[in-house]
Amino acid sequence: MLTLALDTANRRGGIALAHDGAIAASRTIEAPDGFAGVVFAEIESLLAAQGLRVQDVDVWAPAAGPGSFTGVRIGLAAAKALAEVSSTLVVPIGNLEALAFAGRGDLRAAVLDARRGQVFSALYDAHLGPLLEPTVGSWEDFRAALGKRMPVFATIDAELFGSAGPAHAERPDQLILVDTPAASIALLAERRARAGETVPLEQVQPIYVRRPDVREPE
Amino acid sequence: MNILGIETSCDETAAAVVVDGERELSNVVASQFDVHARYGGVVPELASRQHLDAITPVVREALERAGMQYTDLDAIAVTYGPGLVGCLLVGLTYAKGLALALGKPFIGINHLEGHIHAVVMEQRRAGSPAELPAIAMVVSGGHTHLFLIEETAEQGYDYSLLGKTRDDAAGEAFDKVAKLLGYPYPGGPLLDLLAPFGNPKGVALPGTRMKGNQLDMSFSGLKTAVLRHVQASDMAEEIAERRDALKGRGRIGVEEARQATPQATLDLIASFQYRVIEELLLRAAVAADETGARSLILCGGVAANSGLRARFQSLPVPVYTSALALSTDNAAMIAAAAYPRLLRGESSPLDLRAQPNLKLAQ
Repeated sequence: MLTLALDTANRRGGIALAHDGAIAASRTIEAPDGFAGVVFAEIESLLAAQGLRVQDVDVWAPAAGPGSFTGVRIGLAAAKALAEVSSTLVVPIGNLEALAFAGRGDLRAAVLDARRGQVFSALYDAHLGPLLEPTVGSWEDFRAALGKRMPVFATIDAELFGSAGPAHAERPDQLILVDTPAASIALLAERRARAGETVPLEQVQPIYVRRPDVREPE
Repeated sequence: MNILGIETSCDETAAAVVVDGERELSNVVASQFDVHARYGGVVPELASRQHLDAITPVVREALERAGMQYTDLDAIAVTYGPGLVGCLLVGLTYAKGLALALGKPFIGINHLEGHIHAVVMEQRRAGSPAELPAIAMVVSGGHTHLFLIEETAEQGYDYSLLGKTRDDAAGEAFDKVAKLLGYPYPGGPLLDLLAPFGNPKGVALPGTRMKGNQLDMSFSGLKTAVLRHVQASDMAEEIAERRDALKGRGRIGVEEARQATPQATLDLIASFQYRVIEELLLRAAVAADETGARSLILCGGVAANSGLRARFQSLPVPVYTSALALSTDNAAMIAAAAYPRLLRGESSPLDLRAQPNLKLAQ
């Protein structure tokens, strides 16, 4: 089974190919002008390096978010279209869950830079059971929600813990920096596809977490 | 040649299959009216979210109605600008994905060129193609442009910009005046329905004279003139009552709106519509005369305005418009615009970016 994961949800993106439970290729995508212009070239080139074409992929695994609203939609729209033509599966994976998968230990916290001085965060157990659902808020709020629990943190955003980041005051002792969660997304998606844990393509939903900036009418 | 068109530049998710640039086999439009109506305008982020939800079922329905499979398609055409960038990106990315998976050409189309080709398509189908060179007046909620269209064997359709609005688009002016007068969003089409009940000479509203390019237009001054008239006529109470009466009622019918509108306000609406139409007509007439154009293509959402359609027939050149369903945003027009490009072997690269301010001509 060939699973191609595609993460365009956050500032640094990624792409990975899983083949029967092992990662065959993985790379980060830097796209300062946005992912929309580069995403298909990245897919084609990663597959070509393996002697493959898009038609060979069995499962498309887009990162479902949270992250930039537009970035999330680019990954999902690309995966849905690629899967639609060949009637292959789309198995979206949440970015925080993928980070937790890349983490370790019995308590796994996943955090992402949500900009505006906030973080996307969630807490999982070792089997990726959610203990704190994905949310957006201040670093202090997340620490308060954790209480006395001491998880291993995973993130792609080292900057969160830099002097200007929202979590600057406190760098966790146990912090795993992940280049891209794409490989985790690919492996998780393949596992779910094999277990039949899939939804029809038209029901694939993004995980926005943050509400849109819309003032509700009176 | 079978072309699938996709259009997501604003608040309609649309897909269509058009054969040989002439025959629409399907033209599916999923409106987001109910999502945006309560906000009084299109909310870009909500529109983008709706597009992602709707794109797969809308494209499937377009194929189903056309009786086709993906493999029957020869190309995928999609709007890549102008429009709301988040909205454009959904359709553009989806179209690229389909094209890549199918191994078929992908063609990015300018939304304004699409509006023009809605009319070109219908005239071709009717066996009486619009005579070129032609003037195209594209009038919608977001655009008010005058183009000269020529066709050459090497270049295909070639567009030159003759004039455009310097502020509000004509459709935007209609919607803003409707809002000002207490009608729910989008009020522009409602004004068209109410205008025949008023006296178009009832309120004197000023025309605009442009410095520089005389074919440019301006509608914000006209909107301000309506506002001043409203203030001078002490209409605040009437407007507040109408707003309350029509609030949350969904799409309003003309009788319902008319009952909530005194004659003096109907006269104001008719006068406003008359002035907008005269502004457009004047530029169109001058443009046709100066360029020696042989026909005029009137297109875009505001081209559905019955007053505008009727008045433009007074021009000395043949005036072509499209059916109402092809005047507002749709994807058949995008597929139609792609056809001549596909015939010439053109296609777009998969790194084509969405361009919210894309120009059709300088």
